[in-house]
Amino acid sequence: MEKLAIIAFWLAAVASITASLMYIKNFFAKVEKKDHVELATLAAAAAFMLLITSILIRVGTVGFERSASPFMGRAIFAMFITGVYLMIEMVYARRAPRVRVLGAFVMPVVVIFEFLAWHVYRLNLTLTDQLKSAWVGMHVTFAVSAYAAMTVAVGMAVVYLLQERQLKNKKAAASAFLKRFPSLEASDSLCNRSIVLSFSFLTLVIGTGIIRAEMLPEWSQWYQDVKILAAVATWLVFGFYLGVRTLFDWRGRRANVVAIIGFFAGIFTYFANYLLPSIHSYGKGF
Amino acid sequence: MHIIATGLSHKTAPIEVREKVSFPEDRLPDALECLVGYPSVSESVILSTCNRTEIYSVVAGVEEGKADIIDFLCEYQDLKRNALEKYLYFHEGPSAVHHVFRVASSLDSMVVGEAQILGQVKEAYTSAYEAQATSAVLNKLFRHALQVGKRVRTETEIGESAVSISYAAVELAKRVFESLEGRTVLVVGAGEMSELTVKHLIANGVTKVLVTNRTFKRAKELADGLGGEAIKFDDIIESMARADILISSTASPDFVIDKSEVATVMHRRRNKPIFLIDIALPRDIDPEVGNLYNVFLYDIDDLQSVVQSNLAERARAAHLCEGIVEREVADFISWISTLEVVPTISTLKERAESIRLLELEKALKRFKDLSEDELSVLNALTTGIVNKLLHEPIVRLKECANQKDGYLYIESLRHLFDLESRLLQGGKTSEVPRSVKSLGTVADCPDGERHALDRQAEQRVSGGIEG
Repeated sequence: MEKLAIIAFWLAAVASITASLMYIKNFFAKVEKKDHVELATLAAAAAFMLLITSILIRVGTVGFERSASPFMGRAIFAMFITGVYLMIEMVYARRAPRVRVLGAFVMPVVVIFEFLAWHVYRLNLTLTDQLKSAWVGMHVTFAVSAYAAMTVAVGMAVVYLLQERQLKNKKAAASAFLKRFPSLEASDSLCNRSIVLSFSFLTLVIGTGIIRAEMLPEWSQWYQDVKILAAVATWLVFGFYLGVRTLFDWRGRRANVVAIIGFFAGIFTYFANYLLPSIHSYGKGF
Repeated sequence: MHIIATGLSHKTAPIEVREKVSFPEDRLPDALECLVGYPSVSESVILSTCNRTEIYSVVAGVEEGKADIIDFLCEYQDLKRNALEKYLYFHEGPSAVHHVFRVASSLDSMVVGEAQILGQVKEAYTSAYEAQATSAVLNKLFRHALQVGKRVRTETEIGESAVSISYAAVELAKRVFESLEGRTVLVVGAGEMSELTVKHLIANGVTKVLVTNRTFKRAKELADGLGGEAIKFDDIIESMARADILISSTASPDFVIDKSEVATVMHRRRNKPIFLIDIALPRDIDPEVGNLYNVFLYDIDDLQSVVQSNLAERARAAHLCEGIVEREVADFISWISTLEVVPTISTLKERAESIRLLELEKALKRFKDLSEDELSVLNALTTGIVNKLLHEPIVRLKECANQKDGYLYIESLRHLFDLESRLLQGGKTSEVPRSVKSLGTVADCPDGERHALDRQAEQRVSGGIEG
């Protein structure tokens, strides 16, 4: 059965590579071909389904606790980010077909994570008793979702800033390239929604983490942990984004700059336990 | 058999002459019938647009063909030969093919990359086809030309970006707003250019048009013309808060809209982006307004520079298109050369010889131990039969080839003896008869493409401003 999971994972990698190439090809194509657009989406959907299948088979055969490993962490991240992207495409593509540009950025990231996952396939992670808890399971799942959503948000924020700078500098014609990017309105709104999503998941991540830490006396000093502090900082930045957006109508450039700062805080959070000692140290790969 | 193109265009003739030579659509069938009635002319297509009138013909001889076509033009349009002749240009053979491909690719157009010409070429061909004025050669030529016209549009960016000010404005608006569906545009002041822009915006989905002017009566008239709603000039700030796009073109010598007003508007809009187009001279909107947060201001110079750089882009694309056209011409020439009599005869002979050898070999397998003499008799017998059989057709073919419609014999021969694939070794298979209807019409073209005429209109307008 383990081999079946591996095969599903490989097929997912093939589908993701196909999807990446198709999205990139469609982005550069002079004329959009309908079946090429559909093929890209289909390949991405196939990658998503295969990743889920692979993950479920693994969990089903070796059990939840033994299946936790760096490999799984990365595979789950790849699965989530594909899922988030497909959701966006489903909701937005009819009104704003240019959001498919995002596929050309997101799907290669998925491929990279699949390779990173395969790279650490042999690495095992024996769960300590501290980690054998449903709270930890939820904590990790929410964290992966939050990272996936903020990846999409930063992509859109960068697209917004590039597009806006060109329009403000009146160099609109200088780059035919940016014509294929989503409009200011679409990228701004998509960035906002992704941040709402990421912020909500971050709240849950921090919440479940604290609950679990409070259960264990050795983790009672959680408020000194660097990863937790970084997560709270990220949460505050995204909270600030949502706050000024609603209260002071900071849409557009200012809001998107805040979104990018939030993403860097998120990156730091992700790597914090690699750089500094932390109670998350065994969680490398998550 | 020769292909020739005779005509005049915006490059060689002034509008007064072009008018006189042009053929209205309803007279085309009649004109075509008259034209193919000339002794040397076997096929014809008349392409008549506001910028060009061209006659493509298949003629028996180049000189007499030219003479017949000029005669036809003079008689049919009632013109003097020496008055007309100096405006005409001629292309023959490969150069005529090259010309029609360039025309269909819009490389010969006044605005390079404009999309109408492809539809016009298609209509011209369809008229000729329906009037039965075309046959194998022009059918092939025009179907090929239409494919080339499509190909350059899909493979290069020749028709991509706006080359008229009004359309450039629409394109920019689409980069701020994802879709113009259901948007509101506010028009301040009157002018042909702002009307043109509003029409484009409406075509792209804008549903609400607000119009304002210093005098309310004039605003009312304008609003009626555009199907919009007239607004009092004092309510301009209120209206701006509701609009997504503003077009200003008043004759006011001072700024009509200043920074503090727009700042108020933005506050009321809760910072939702607004796109301001100032096409007035002198300007209506203080350029400082463009520095405001989420305000995108373009004046006539900005739009003009967008258009300029798009035109430069088209010029670069046109260079690529020329290459495509060259290759397509070479393809077509290799097809047309199969209609030549000499290669056809030699292919026919080769074919016969190869059959003879094959059959002879089969027979020889059954007779063992044949003597040299017997062998040579058999050889002479088979050669004799083949040569006798082919002699008459070859002689007749040579005779017919130089007559009108002679290539029809050649084509029939190629078909009857299945010589097509042999003549085109390494080339494309010869016949790709695509239905004419499957080729695109103007309606297929992206809507960014209806602006070639606008550009001309705008040139009139800006000419008016300068004057």
